[in-house]
Amino acid sequence: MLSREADSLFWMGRYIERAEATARLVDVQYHAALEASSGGAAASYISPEGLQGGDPHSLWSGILEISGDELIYKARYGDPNERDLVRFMVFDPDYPNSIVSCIRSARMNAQGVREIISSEMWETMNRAYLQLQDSDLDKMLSSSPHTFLVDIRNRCHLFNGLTERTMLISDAYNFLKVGIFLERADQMSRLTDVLVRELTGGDYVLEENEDFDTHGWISCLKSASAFEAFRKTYRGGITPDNVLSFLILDWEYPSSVHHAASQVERCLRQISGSGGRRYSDDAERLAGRLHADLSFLTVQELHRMGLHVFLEDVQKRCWDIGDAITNRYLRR
Amino acid sequence: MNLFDAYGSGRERGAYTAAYDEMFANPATLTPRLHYKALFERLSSLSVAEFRQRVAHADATLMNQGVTFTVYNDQRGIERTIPVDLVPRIIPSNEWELLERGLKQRIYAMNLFLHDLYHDAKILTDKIIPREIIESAAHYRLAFRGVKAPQDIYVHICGTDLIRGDDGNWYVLEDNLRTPSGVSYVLENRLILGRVFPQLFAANRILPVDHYTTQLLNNLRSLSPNPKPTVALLTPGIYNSAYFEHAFLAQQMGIELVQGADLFVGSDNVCYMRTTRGPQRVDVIYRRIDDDFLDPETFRPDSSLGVRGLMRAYSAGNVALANTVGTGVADDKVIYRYVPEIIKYYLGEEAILPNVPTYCAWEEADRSYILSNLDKLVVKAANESGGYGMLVGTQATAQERALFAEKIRENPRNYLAQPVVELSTAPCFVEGQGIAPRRVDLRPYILTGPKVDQITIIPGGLTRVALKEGSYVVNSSQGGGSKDTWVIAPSRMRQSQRMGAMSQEQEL
Repeated sequence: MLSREADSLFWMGRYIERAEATARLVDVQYHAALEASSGGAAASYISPEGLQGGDPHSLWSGILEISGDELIYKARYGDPNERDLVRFMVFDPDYPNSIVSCIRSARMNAQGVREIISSEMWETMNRAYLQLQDSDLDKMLSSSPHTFLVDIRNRCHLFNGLTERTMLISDAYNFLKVGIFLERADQMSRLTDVLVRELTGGDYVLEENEDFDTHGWISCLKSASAFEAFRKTYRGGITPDNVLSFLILDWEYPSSVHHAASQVERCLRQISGSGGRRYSDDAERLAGRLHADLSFLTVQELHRMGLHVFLEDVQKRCWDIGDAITNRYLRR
Repeated sequence: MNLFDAYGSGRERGAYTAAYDEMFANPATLTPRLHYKALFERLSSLSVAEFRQRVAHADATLMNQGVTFTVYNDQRGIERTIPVDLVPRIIPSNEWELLERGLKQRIYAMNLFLHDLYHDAKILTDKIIPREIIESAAHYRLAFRGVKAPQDIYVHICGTDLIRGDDGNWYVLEDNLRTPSGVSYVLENRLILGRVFPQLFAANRILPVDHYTTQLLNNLRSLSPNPKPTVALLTPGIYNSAYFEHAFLAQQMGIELVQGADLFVGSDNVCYMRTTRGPQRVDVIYRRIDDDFLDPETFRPDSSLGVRGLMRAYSAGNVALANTVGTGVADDKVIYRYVPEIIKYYLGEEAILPNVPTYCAWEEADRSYILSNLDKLVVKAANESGGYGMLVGTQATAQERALFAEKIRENPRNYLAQPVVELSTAPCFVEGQGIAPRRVDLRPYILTGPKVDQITIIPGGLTRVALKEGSYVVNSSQGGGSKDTWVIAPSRMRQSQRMGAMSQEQEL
């Protein structure tokens, strides 16, 4: 297939996954803050003016850190407050990782490959774009932010479902999937990193017997749409180590960093057609190594390496994989 | 309120009274023509509110599907849906037979003409057309004389604009032999109408149009000696006003949709695309880029849309182009005047479809006629399209006419004039007026191939509508819309595709 089109598909996948991850994150943070705050503050939370009580700094700074774009926010809006944060993450057209921008970029890429993806996929993408063009912060806050954000996620899910159902399982499909899974690995490692820092007060030290914040770890799982799946996997209690191993290392949870990395490798091998014991290029080598590491690590080893150091390394390796894919396939 | 209540008054208000009406034999009494009777009755049973609901449904569908075109001079956003009017236009089968014969004759002669022009140019030696007219035509490509076109086909895809005059007769207004657009709307309009007005279809037996892309793909593939050729559609990209159509056609045919930068021509004079598995040879290019931008090595050096060296590959016979290079010479508006002579010269036949009377400013007698009758004529630049570079004398101010007179004197070769033809009117839904008359034309799409005398025309074509009240300009870039166009099957033909057709026979 054309390199330009492979590039468009790869980035379309990344942007859709990013939009979905951001929508989920904003939703969970918004409602976690709602639950954590007192009744009076909670009432003010839903008002279009934004949060009056509570402490937005500690509740929301996590979102900015996951995005990695704290500086951009500060330059544009100054101190974090809830209203501006939601505006920034959802509606800011000049911030490239806002939901609006991700959907716009995904759609623009889709436009360049309109004859490759199915009409159904294109139409879903286009409708998501048109709907976002038609909404704004005030409309979202004055109705139901949750419904709004869930709707965005559902559109992304619909797109993914249509991909499975209507797209040829070809190189094009695999480039799209590589984009989706690489972004997922990256997003999950960031999410885990920031949440753990929040919950450990910044020192990443987790003591099994310490009186930990169950509520915090539940919302941590919820931001990854992982709570129910976690319950099924670990019938025992919520312990920090169980949560970490679930989000990072689990074999069966489809959003774990491990699963995402394994899919990146699988899709790349489908594209190159190379068998299990050899790699055919750098992209495959790096993806295979990340997958292998995640397959054989234990949560105790993560602690020994330092959680933060490890997760930052995962992000760097995702970056390198993306770079290698670009060099191998996408550069014209 | 009935949908058609204001039709009569609409004819007065838009100054349409002299025009032939497509639906009504007598617009004052709302007496429909026979072939429109069933449709008229169905529509009459709808209220304005019901109709409006369908319009909203159709609009939303088109917007969601991204069936849009790009407007360059519009401040607010760049994407718009092309307005689709939901009242179909019907052409009875006997009229269509005539049109089909006339169009086939015309395109066949045009292909013979182009072949001759780029080889021995006998038509010039025999002085049928003055040599200086050809040599001064902007799209004449002398450099490609002698280049062999597969099967001697120069124009594979043609869109010819037809109009119906106040006498009820059809005329050819112009030929589009370069990169005619709009066929995707023919196909989309049919789908949309089926979706929002399925019951209209039941009353009529409509000839299908959806074989267009199959035939086109077949023709394109036949241009390469390779039994499994790689065919690509070359588009200027997502910002081009016709990008929707390019993507649509590529998708329907399952061919590659490429931009200039996706292609390169190697030192072996072969055209390749840059793929994830390295260079891959391209055998046939359905190009939707004008000659001028096709190859910066040969044509405009500043073009970033084209492919450097493409003309080398083309001249070497390593890649086929549809349409070929230099076809624009034959749709030059001055050469248009000679088409009846061209038909006679190559086929020994009289033209079946007449031209609109045309005056060419480069001939002295014609020029002085044009200059003294500017207020009665439509003046056109020879090489413009899309409704640009045009003066409608009857509607222009004295100042605009004076400006055009100046241009004509400066460059007479570039201008021609025609009497204002009272384009026929057809019923259209207009917000606030119900169904009202608007002027229409018809652009059938004509495919030639695999042999030069094998010509396929999908029944009907694109009916374009001048949506502005009183306007004659149907181009989408100038506020035009379009209609689904039905050719009704003759009663003896059985249409198995449409459910419900069998019980409706007596209505025809």
